[in-house]
Amino acid sequence: MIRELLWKEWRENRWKYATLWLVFNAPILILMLAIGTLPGARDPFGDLSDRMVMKYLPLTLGEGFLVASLFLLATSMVAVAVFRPDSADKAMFFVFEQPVSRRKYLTTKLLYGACQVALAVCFAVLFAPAAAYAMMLMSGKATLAGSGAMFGAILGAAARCILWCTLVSVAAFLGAALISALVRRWWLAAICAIGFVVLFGAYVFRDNSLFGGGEFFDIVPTVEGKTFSVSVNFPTSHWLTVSDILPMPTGFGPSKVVPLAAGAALIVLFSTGLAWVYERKELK
Amino acid sequence: MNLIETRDLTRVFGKLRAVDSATLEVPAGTVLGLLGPNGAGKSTLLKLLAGHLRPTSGSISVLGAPAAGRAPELWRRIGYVAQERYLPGWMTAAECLRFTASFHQQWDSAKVERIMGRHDFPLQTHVRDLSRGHYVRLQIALALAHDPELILLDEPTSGLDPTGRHDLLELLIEEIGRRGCTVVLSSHMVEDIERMADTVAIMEGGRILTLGGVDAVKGTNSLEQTFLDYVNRRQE
Repeated sequence: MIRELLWKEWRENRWKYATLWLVFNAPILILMLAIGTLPGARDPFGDLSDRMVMKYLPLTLGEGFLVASLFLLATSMVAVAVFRPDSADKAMFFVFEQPVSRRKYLTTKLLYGACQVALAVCFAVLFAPAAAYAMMLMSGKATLAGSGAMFGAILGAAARCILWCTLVSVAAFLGAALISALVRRWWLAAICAIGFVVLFGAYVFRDNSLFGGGEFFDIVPTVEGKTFSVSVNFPTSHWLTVSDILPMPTGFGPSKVVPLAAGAALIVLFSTGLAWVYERKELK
Repeated sequence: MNLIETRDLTRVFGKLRAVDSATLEVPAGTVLGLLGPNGAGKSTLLKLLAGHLRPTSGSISVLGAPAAGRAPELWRRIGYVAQERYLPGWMTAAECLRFTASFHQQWDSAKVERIMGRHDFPLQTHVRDLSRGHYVRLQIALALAHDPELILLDEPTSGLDPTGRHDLLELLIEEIGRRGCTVVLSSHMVEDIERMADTVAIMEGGRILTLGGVDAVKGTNSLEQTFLDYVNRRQE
């Protein structure tokens, strides 16, 4: 029974989730494509020594920041696209006419969606530094011995930020899903979901008691007394400028329980809300 | 034994009483026809019986349970054909059948073939692209293949051409005759009801105006004349 419900989710929504994976990985894929095909795009990385690797590789940690901020819009739109047909096209009643409980159907749908979002987040956040470092190694000037430790530290920081990014993304996914289950018109659901995600994202990254300004994970490691800046100026030959080499992250800040608990509580709250809405859906 | 029992069943949408104090008893093996003009409350009554709607007041018992939709296991014993199109448009007809079959221990593939027609049914076509005739055949196949005890049919022949309508009614009559299942059929086509039902309920404005055997209800008149008399009297 569960297998059939999982098949339905996969068959119905495979391209929607594939789009999410594509969007999440778009920055690094576009960068790889640009560097591979445009000689001008390679200028800032002319001398790809280990020193340059240490300067540029930490920038890939920005993928986590994108996933938990700008890309929340994509996450919410996928949630609307996945949950909209159930309500707007009344397709849920086809499943409700099978000998399976509404709760079991919704649980399968939610778990499948949450797993897709979580896996896409994990892959994107780890893929960005891994792909960038692989490209740097392929240039032949950077060496594993010279910059391998830095790569390991960056990957460790990325792995740590996955937890936070997954919580924020899954919460945004479920919040948007709840909106699409409540609002039958798809365009209104889309507008409401965008509004929700903008407010949610703004709250997460604002200095507040629940999320602490999104500083649970150190997107860019900093050292006191050191300033660090990144500037992007298209289309000059030095379109990407990094003012200083980032200090190598040697440790992580203390884990904050409240932001994690707040993210988990939101996920439970939105899931419960969805279960309540699905249980009360009527074929009018 | 009554498969369906309702008492003062009422469903209100805003100010509209779509079903108003409906009291029904449908014994096993009966074919009950719900006859009424558009907006009489036939579809709402069927949705209440299927558990797709909750009653505003009154009681409802289907196959001994309070309402079908609340007890998922009852869907093994019920077949429902809705008037609306809500089968997932992205599925092909074959996928739709396979998906539904996977939930039922009892599944009569030969019956499905008989309903769909052996050669001409476009099984690999997406449900959203099926013609009305093919769509209804698919709905009927999905509703009957697991040999349900109770079949709820909401205007199954509406929108079909005369040939399609004739074939579909023949099919349903054959199925009912073979298995002796209980059927509640709604229609505004008097001849459909007369052909299939042994009991008829005439509805208008959400109320059941009369309920009884077809011969008893129509008396010496035709069923169509009786129906028009009841509706006109009510509207006056």
